[in-house]
Amino acid sequence: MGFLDSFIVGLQVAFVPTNLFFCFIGCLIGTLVGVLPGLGPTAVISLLLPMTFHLNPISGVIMLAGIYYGAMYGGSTTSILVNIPGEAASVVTCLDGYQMARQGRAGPALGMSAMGSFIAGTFGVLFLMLLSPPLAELALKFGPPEYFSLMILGLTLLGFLSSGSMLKSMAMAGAGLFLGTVGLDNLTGTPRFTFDSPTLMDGIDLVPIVMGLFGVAEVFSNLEQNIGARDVLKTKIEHILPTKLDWIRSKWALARGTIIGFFLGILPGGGAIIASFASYALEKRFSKTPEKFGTGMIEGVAGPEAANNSAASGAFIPMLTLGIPANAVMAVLLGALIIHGVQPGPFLIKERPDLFWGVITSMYVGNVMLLILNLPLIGLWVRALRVPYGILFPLILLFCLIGSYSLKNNPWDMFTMAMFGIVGYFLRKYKYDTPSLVLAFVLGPIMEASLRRSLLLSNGSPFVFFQRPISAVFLVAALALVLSSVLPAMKKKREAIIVETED
Amino acid sequence: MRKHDLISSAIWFFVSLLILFSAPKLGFGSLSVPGSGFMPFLAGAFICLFSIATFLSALFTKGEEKVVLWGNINYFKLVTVLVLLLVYIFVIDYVGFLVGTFLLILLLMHFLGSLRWLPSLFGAFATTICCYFIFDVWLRTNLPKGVIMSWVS
Repeated sequence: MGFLDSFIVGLQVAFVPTNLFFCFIGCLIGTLVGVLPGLGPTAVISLLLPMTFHLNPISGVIMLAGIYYGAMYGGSTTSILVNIPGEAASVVTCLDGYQMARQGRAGPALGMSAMGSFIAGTFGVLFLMLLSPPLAELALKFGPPEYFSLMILGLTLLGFLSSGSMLKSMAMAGAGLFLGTVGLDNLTGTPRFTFDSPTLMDGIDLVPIVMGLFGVAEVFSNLEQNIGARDVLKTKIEHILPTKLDWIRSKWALARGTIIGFFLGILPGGGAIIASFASYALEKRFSKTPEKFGTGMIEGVAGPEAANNSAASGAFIPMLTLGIPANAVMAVLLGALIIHGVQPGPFLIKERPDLFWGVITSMYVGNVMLLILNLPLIGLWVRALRVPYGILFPLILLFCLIGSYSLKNNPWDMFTMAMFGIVGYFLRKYKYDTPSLVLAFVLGPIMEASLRRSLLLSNGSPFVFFQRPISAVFLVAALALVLSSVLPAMKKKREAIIVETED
Repeated sequence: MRKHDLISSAIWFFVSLLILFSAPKLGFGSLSVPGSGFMPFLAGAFICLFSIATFLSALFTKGEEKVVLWGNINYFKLVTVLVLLLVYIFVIDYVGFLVGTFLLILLLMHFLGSLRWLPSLFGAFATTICCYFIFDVWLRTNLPKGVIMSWVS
């Protein structure tokens, strides 16, 4: 099937009224999730996952994907108007976006962030359409050793790119790998760390873990600080459409953000958060006036916003073509597809072209919807921002409880969620990276199966991972990353990027 | 952060030891036929290695500014939320979604969200009814009925 045929199949699926409706719902919820701090897309997608069981898989995935890229749009509104990131990928937008708002330029900041998101989102989807088929062809050459090595590379990259300590991030990856082994061993049927509990025989579910670590832990962190009403900047939002000068200043930031974001999104362990940080650092480096960053430079809004949206599209590539999630959100989406009986991987394009192309094409449609939702309706989102936290946090907790319960109608899952909420709270306090834990938890069982199969096939020779060229490349790349983070020169460079973006 | 890193990495080190000692009991197998304990052992070794590395890195860090992790914290709010959550989870099967959720939201909004009684009552009522219709009636989630509702039905 040629590119045009595939696109037409995609359009036919995306324009089915039900799919259009769920795309809109996804974008709407996504924007709301992005706007409201305290509930990220990972937790909300997990919450709504059980509700998609009653939908057909295409509508379900279209909606869940809409929440993800919708949150990238909405996150910037809070960053610009309140100086609190609506979701993690918009942290850097606070730096210049809020300063612009304080100078009375909230309109252009919001406008450029929405337009930048739209442009990057659209190009991201285009790249996704062009790159997925050849990557799926390449993935057909992957055997268990290649899968194992790719996941090793993914986990290493996650540690390398994490904003905090790489060592802590890797320890968290180990914890995730361990949690993934709880339950019955798939190959031998041996119960592992189940303590004779029938519930643990099935293993620990992803949804309660995500809800606990991202939803409940966030509520605990916010409650300990006596948060009052949020201080929304009282400024008139006008001139939302950026001026010609704004466009001239932002055009290269948009282009660079789109490209860097997309490729960081593809890498397992990368994702929207890293992409926005990297784009900001890049813009600062390219700028003739780097010292002015942080004082209200529109490039500092355009670049990161383009990057996080394009990364959101890129992240779909490894999930759809290899069956390997690039980040925690994709891990939940992967779970959603598997529950619906769809196995993502190299065969997905051929076996389910309707789903593959339908979901991707719906992202074009979703981008248009988001532009409409975000530009003319900005006043509505600003009003949503004024909802006091005293009303918001009981609702977040309730949604987390319902999301965990509805998975299997088992109160035990709510208990698991609460426990992970406490663990997540402490991990945040001590600056441990929870996304590493979640990604490793999802990759763990796939990694274990690949590792054991590889060793079985090679009669126990660990060299099998180096004898196959693709696998060897992945492992060498992982090794290079580890070594480079230890080498003093590279270590300084990595720390410089982190400090620069955290300033 | 140095002191906190020393404490947290030590805790992770002990967790990893527990895993490293329990995993071989599941059957380590051999390299050609890895057993059930193989992967947990590797995961434990991973945690062990990086917790030691974090510990050593913190130990040799010098001249870092002091970070206060546990100052100015509203423990009352944290403990109350946790207790309410746990009570809700343990009684939800008996009292049912409607009663349990109404009480949970009411208490959270009034005592922790600092809302007055009337708005809290209204908020709890509206939230419970909306969630019931969205999740139970529309999305057929099958929320817990509880003993009272079961008698009625």
